[in-house]
Amino acid sequence: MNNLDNILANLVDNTNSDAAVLVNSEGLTISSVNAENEDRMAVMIASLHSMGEKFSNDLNKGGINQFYIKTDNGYILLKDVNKDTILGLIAKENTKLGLLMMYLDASVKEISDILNNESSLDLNIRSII
Amino acid sequence: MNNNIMLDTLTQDILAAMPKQTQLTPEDIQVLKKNKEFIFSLAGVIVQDFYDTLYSNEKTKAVFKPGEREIREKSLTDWVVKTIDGNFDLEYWSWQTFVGILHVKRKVTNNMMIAMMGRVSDIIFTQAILQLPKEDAIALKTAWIKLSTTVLSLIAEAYHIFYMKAVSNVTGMKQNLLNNAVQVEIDNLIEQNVKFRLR
Repeated sequence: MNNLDNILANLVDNTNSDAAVLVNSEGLTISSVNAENEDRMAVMIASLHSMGEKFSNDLNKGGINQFYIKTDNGYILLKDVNKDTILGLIAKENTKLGLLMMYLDASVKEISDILNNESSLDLNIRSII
Repeated sequence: MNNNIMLDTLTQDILAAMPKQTQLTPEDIQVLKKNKEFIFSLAGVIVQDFYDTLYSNEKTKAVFKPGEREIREKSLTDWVVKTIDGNFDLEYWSWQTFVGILHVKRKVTNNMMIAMMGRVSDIIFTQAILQLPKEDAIALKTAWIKLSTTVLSLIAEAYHIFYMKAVSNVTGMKQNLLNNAVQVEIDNLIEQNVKFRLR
């Protein structure tokens, strides 16, 4: 496990979430934990983020830094790490949202620090092609 | 970054993906010019048959607005006239590419377009065999196939590219993301239809 995998694993453990996926804006997985069908999740996260950002810009509401979806059985949360990286978290219905947000913010900060210290070329993007 | 697709550049890209052997040569263009009067003599028959055929099918008929047949007949006649002028420069090919955008707007799908080009070609080939010396008919057939398939390629590819571009612009999904999304799904679609795959 690399540092990014560890951060995602801790996030999932601490929030009792189902899965976490770190993706780039092209929908390629950088890191993931418990992600079944990882490639599909990665493009869905990037697509949702793109659509949200476009919609927000069209409404003159600026860019987005967080995306929150309440489903019948839980939550889907997307949070910007930087302009090209998004963290997706799939959380359970009974999660404590305040606590989850706190862990999510802390994880984003840790990931951002790692990415800032690494050349993007060094990232192990799991290409789906 | 310029978000617009430059029509001339796109046209050149599409043509670049067509092997040289499939494209018009100067000799082919001379053949088309030599037979300009012959093709023009067929324009009335082609236009009449074209719209009779389209209006005979419920799906193709649905493309048209009430009362617009006359306008569309003039458009096709203009296309024939400009085409047999034989000035196959970038402006002419980019015009064909632009037709691909209009086809998205008008919901003229590629199957409709390809079928109808086949119909036009059939009229030209049949009359060429009946009216021209054999060697001239063969040369015209070769030139017309290259011309028509180039036109079809430009329109079909432009239809696809601008359809995807519209999706990209509305959703904010960049081309690479759309490509990756398609790659994720395409194996499932192949699997659902695997019985058609050649062994």
